[in-house]
Amino acid sequence: MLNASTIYLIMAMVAFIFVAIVVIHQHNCSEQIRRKKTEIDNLTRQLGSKTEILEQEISKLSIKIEEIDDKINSFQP
Amino acid sequence: MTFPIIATILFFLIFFLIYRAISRNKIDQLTSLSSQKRSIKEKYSSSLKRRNELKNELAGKKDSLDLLLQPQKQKEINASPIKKIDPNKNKNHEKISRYLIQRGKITMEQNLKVLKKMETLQMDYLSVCMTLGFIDLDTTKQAIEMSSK
Repeated sequence: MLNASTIYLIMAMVAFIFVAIVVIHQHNCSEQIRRKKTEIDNLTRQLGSKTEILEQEISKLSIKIEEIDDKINSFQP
Repeated sequence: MTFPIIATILFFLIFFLIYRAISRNKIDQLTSLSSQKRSIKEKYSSSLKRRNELKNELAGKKDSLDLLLQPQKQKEINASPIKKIDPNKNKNHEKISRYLIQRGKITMEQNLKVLKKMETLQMDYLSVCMTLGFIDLDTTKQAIEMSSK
């Protein structure tokens, strides 16, 4: 049978291992989240600029369509 | 001996709760980031779709405007003494091109390409369309039937 101090020593070691597992898990999770955030930021930047260009194109096209509509209307009696 | 057992159980419990909380927090954050990503992509794709719709609409309207302007242009061409153009031939391929564009068989860009190639290949409109692979045999037959009406 183990004596009390040996048991406490084993318990302390197990506790240390578990704390290490928690720390490593926390680190992995935060690393994963950080990578995902970076990915989203890059995507937001890229697609944001593209969307802005598209919006400008859309407004230009709308203006052109309105002009053509006016022309077409002018032909109709 | 009771105290070490209780302490071990408590420790396991705390370890399990902390581990679970970290995992849950990670899953929540990743889910929210994924939904953010999806919304950004949806916004972009909706803008793209809207632009394409407007482009198609513009092409259609331009086509209608051309149709309206056609009589005036025809008058100008007829009035010109220099150029002798076969009106039936032009009319025919314009009719076919209009038909194909309206049916969505070819786009405006493809139509322009065919018109350019017609001169170099010395072929009629439908043959050029088929050579370039824009339409198939059935569509050609339908267009011929339509133009002969």
